[in-house]
Amino acid sequence: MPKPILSYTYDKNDTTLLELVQRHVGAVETTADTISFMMNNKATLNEEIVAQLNALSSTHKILSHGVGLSIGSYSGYSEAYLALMDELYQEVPLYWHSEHLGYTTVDGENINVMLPVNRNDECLAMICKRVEQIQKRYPIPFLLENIAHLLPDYNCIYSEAEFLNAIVRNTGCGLILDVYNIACDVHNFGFNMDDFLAKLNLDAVKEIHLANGSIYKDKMMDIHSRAVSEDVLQKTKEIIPSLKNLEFVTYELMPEAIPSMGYVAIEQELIRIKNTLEL
Amino acid sequence: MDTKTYQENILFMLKHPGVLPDEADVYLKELKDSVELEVTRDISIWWRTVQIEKYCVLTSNYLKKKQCFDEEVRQFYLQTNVSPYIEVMAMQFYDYLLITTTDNLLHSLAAFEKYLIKIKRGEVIEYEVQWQYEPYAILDMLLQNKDLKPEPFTGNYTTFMASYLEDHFEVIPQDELL
Repeated sequence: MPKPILSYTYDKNDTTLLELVQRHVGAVETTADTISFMMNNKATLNEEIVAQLNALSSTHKILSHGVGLSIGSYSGYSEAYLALMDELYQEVPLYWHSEHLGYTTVDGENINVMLPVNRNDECLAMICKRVEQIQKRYPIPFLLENIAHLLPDYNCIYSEAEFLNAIVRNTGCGLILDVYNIACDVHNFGFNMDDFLAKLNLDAVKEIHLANGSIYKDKMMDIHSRAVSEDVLQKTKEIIPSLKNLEFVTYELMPEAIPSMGYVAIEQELIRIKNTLEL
Repeated sequence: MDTKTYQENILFMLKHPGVLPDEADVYLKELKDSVELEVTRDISIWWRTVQIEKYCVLTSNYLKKKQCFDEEVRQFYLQTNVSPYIEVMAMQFYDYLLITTTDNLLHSLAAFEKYLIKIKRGEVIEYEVQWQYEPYAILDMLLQNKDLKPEPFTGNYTTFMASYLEDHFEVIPQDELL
């Protein structure tokens, strides 16, 4: 089994950071929504970042990981996000693309946060249909990520693992396992991580996400602002041998956290993850 | 509730703290005053706060000095379909302030910063903003992070803003216009 490759989020036009990071990773993950800006009522990708990603693609894999698709909105996913994705797909050689299994808009109104879908037959059919549409639109693999829950479950007849397995079974899409998001669910709702992992179709997991956030009003927040906790890193190390199709482990850090964390700490964190997980 | 009703109700409850939608079931009744809903709303607002702080520098500094920045962003979030794009959100925030504020200085400042950005973006060629304080003194207090003491600088001024001016604006005392 080949070793998974370390990856890092690159969403900010910062060549110093990119030069530093690319020495330690084999891939970068970029977010079309984050590297775009609005001009004349149309979202457009930042040309400089696109050029940097293109240059990097000769030596590194480029992964796309969106936040604005809102695949779980009952009223339909975001065509504006897909227009950006069209542009990114045309401009940059992507290895695959992925999104979160959740929704960020209701009736076209932004809720400015990501919430999970209800795990029932209505949502399963809706998600599977949309995944298939996306798979037809882009002939590269598509992955879905488990997101952290902020609200208690409603009208769920499937467990988290059963729901993800059903989507994989019906569509053939891959999964991103966000270990920090699971840690948030464990902390916030007493979620049983071991039971989830025992029931999840681990063969579908192609990528792991690692991150850290903060505690607010006793809730663990999915913010992507810090070094990965030792607990999450050790749990990831424990899980990896059972993921035979795992290709990437991505350390996620939001652009806003780069100044406070600093280049040196980011580099040290990448080295720490790489050494601990033997990537 | 089907998915449509559920999602619409969640949106309603995020935007209307402490209010239940029509025909709320037990889940929504329990959710209304829950820490989970409060945290979800707070996170949404926190993200907007971070972005507005970074983009709307002058206006944010002014509101912080008046100790009402967080509350203004909160009210903005509750009353607006906030765009995820900062370029759009910033304009929405200025417009919200221009409609809701009774503070003359905040009104001038928000209009000034809004149109300065628009002129730099090439969306507007010329614009005028009226002030009841000397603009350079106010801008100096905000940019140098000095205590906000506008009272000694009262007077009628206009900032004439244009893409072809070196600094994109000039300050004209009102009596010079007469």
